[in-house]
Amino acid sequence: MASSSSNLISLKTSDGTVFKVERALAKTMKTVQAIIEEADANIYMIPIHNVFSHHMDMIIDYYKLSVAGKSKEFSVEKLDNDELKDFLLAVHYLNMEDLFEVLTQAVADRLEKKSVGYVRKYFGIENDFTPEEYAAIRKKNDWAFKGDDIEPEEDEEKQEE
Amino acid sequence: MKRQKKSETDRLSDLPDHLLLHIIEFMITKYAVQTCVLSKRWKNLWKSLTNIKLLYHFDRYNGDILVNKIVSHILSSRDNFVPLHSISYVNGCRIWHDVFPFKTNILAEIMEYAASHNVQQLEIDTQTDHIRNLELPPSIFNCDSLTSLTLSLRDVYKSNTKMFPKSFNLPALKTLKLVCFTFFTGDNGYAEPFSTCNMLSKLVIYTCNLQDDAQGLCISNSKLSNLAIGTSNSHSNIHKLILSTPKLTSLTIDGIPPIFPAPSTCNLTLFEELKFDCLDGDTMGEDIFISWLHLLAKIKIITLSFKILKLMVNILKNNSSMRAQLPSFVKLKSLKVEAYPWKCDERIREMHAHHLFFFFFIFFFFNVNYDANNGASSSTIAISSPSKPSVQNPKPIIKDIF
Repeated sequence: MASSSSNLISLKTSDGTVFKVERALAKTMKTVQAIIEEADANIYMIPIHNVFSHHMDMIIDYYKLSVAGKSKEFSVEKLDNDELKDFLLAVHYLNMEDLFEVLTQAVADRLEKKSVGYVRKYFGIENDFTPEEYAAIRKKNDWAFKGDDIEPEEDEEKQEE
Repeated sequence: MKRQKKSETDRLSDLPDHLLLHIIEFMITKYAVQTCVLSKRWKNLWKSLTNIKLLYHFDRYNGDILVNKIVSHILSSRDNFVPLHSISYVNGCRIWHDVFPFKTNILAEIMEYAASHNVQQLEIDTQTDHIRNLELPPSIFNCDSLTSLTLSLRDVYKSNTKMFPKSFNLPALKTLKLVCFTFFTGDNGYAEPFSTCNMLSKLVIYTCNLQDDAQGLCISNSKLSNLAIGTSNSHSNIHKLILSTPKLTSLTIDGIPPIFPAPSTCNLTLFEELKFDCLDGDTMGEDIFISWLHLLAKIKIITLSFKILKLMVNILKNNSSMRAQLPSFVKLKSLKVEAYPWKCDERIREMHAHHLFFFFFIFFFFNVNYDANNGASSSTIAISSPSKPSVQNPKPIIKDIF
């Protein structure tokens, strides 16, 4: 805490890039903050696994916007679904509350009307229902599937099993 | 490469249940329920949702019967022991006038469920023309847990309002939004509906009425900081507004230009922002206009819709004696004129074309005290549209004008 360059924290991403970030930004990353607090001596460089430099770029963008009161202008539209998932996991690792909320909303929006097969793939979920179990649970909650225009991929799923 | 891909896709599944649940909390609940077929782990996950979101849109009206069944199922299938934080029922479908009203209990069902499950936030926003004999259960008006309540129950074709209960007990309520209600008149001849809500800090009243014998609407809440009031039709009978709200900082007028004169603000020491969000209506009574003009002169932060600015300019154009008595806007720190996207692109272009003239007119109109000695004045004027970034009026232009 008494180091001379105490305003900037160095973070090293998985791909080896070093980012010098403001202490205030580092504070929003609870994982990083915990590392800083636990360190006995001054810590020069904090490695952040699972976080790549393109993630840090977006994190810094978000931080700048939220400091200016414009966090609503932050958009992840240009990320495809996998990039968004990746980013969500990075932000989860860093334990950044606000940005995590923004990204979970974005993921939810994208998954909302997707088919069962798509969502399984996205989350990496293995279908452990037997065809009978699947049919039973689908029938029981049939009311939740009414009035939709979701592609009925369930039939394809059953055939794969 | 393949191995790396596999571990990537597994990682979302490595998230603990409560985080997966967190993701589906953001979905419209109907779709969140559909996750029950993903795998055994997901089968009952949705039942622990703490926020229920029921949203229906214009292009999907299949008859309320379908919608009501889904809502009923969600409420009855979820885990009763999981605390429920919020319920939101927003039915944006346009229900045509030829739909025959039928008896449905779904709104009452939602309200009773919310009350019995200690919900903190409840929002119900729907057209109600098609509902026969809609009754509001008293339980929702006597709920200790409620901190935020929105009730927008609009009879579009019949212009009916619901009676807001005379007495109720919502001790924790901080935010209240009411659309299409009529308020009972109190013993003092005024309608003073919210004085028992001691925690109330934000209040929105839209298209509400008073009983015929009421002299006006009185808002008296010690913690209220934001008030928005307005109406979409000229049949509103709120002709007087009294504010006993010492913590009030901001007042917004929505809908048509106000039909009541500006309230007295001498006891409102924190009051600094006035917003006219009027997008409809073409007239304002002269006396009423003058009273609001005098109030505007005392305000620090003003936001005007382009429509109401135009209306004000027109009234002044035709009234030279009014122009001669324009008050000085000595407190003005920021004036924002908002143009709206669907009407706006030509308007914004118009404004840019008459840029200098327009700002000159604004300054003349508002008789702003520009401190020429202190060049770094903190006054700002901006024209903005929600879809475009603000066009800040830079000080050099102000200097040029003068």
